[in-house]
Amino acid sequence: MKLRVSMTLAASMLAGLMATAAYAESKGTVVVFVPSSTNPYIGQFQLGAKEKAAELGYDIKVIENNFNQSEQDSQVQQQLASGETVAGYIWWPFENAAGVGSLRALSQSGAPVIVSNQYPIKGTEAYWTAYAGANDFLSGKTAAEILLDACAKADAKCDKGAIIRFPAGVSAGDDRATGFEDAVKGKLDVIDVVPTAGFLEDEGYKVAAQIIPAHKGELTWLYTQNDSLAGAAAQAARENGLTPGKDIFIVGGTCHGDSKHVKSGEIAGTAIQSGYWEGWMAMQALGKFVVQGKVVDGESYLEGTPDAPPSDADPLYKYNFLPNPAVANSQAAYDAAKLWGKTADQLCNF
Amino acid sequence: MTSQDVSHRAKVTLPKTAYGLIAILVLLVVASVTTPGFARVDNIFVVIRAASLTGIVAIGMSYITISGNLFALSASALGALLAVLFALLTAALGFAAGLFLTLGIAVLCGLAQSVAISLIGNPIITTLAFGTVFRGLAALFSGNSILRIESEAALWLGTARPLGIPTQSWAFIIAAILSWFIIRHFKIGREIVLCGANPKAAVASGLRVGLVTAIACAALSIGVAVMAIMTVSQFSQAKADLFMGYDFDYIAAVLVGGIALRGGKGTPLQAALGAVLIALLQNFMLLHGLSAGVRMTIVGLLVIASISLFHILQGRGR
Repeated sequence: MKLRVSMTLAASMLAGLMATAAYAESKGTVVVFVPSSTNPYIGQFQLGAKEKAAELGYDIKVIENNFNQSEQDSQVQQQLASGETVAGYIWWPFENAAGVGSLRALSQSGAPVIVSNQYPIKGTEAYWTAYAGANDFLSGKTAAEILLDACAKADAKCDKGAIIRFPAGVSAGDDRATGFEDAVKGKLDVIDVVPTAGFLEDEGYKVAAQIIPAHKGELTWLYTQNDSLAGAAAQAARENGLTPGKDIFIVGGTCHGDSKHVKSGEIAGTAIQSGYWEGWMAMQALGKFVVQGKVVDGESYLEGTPDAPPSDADPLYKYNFLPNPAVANSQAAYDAAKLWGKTADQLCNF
Repeated sequence: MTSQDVSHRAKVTLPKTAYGLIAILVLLVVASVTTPGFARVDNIFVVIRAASLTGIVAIGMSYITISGNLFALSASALGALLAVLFALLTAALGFAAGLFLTLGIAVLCGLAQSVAISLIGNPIITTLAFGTVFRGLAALFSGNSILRIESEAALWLGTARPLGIPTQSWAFIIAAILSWFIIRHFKIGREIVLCGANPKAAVASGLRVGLVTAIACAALSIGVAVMAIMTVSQFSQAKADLFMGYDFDYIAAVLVGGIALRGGKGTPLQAALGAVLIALLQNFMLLHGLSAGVRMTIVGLLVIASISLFHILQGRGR
């Protein structure tokens, strides 16, 4: 009797293990090409992609480059030469234009290619399956709307200002500047556009500390393309005797960096651009294509709902854009802001 | 006037620091004439502030160059690592402990590099490898996230302006004077110069070459630590990708200052002047709206011109 019970138990356990193994069997490997995760935004992108891949049942292999397109090109050659069968690729080029050759090589492998973060270059449509990521034109437009709103509410002069932009050649910087300038045309005067040499506070401070005194008495606003640069610009403004939010309006437009400047009202407001959700939606797009097998022509601006992320059953469009919900510049507004079930604090303070 | 007078006048030579000062004065005049708002006192303070942190590291780098070890290519990566560690230590143990432990770790990192340089014999390759290790450790310790600190003392250090001058500029001025004094008036300073002037003769005459390399690496590491601590204090946060691409700025300041590439000639004061000259040029270009690419190109050309001029002057001096 004991033997029979033991054998039954053993058989049940074996069956259970086999079922678990079958259930956990991977749907394939997704290879993600990205710049280095030493940049916290890219670290968040990877985290989002990995969590969504695990949810959908894919293995994920992340290949990082050290902010170097030649290195990324070489990694693509090595990946393709390995002959590994993959479920698909996620492609975040370090230099969008310079990476087109590698993008074409990936597409020629026959596996689906999802481009993310860098808006695809016109004429390359045949080399990628779908774009899923940020829309930098929209980011610039949102920042302009935040600034115009702050100017309208303020009882202060708000006309001439400057753009402190990302380094020349960074397409996100070009697109954000275009989106911003289109939105403020005829409403605000852009008297200077100065590129930084980087994306962080120290580079923002270097530029802001020099252009604010150079245009003293003229500048009434600054657009800096992200909140790290905006926070540094606010510090430089204070050192030059200007009170941010009163004498000068500063907007970054993407929550990246220390949120205290937004919460305190020094920055006119911000918008959530989440690295986590960008990686997540790139992976979701790939999963959708594998299941649905088709791409709908046109653009889809995913809704920035506070609670639930978009459904996997929604159609995949050629262009799928991450929402940029604006957040007002107060502690209460910041605490209340949510995107797809995660708070601004979770999405911006990484 | 006799022919003797003429030959006597031809032999009059200016100290090397004078070349840097003349270049700064020429640029000041040109920029003042061509750029509205450039010659204002507050703009000059802005330029000195912009030169300060790069200048502090360049002063440390000058010890490496003068000692005959060319350059260290690990400075920016070490800066990132020390910034991350300072943030972690300050958050855990407080500002004072964070400050002193970071300086201590910096010295250890410098000593480790000096031992490797002595064993391997190639400072460029050795420090390049160390740079990769430092950047990797910075990423590991930070967990690829932004580390924030809340310390009033740190905030004061990063943002205060005693007598209207930023703390970074005070640190720069003190570092320049102190470093110049050590090179000129301390025995180890003279050994650093002699080792750089003729390494083989230095070994043969029993100079402490290993100690010289250790002091040079430690001096650079302390300069890097000061930069890291002040940057983290100013913005109350640290990231693993801080200071990326800054190594050229430090080396450019040393070369533009006129310190001999092969060692043995120059003072830290020249590196400080080199940093100020580059910051002046950057400010001039920025106020004229030149893009970052153009600014980089011009600074690169300035470095090439400085090295060429230095070699021509050396040739004449022989």
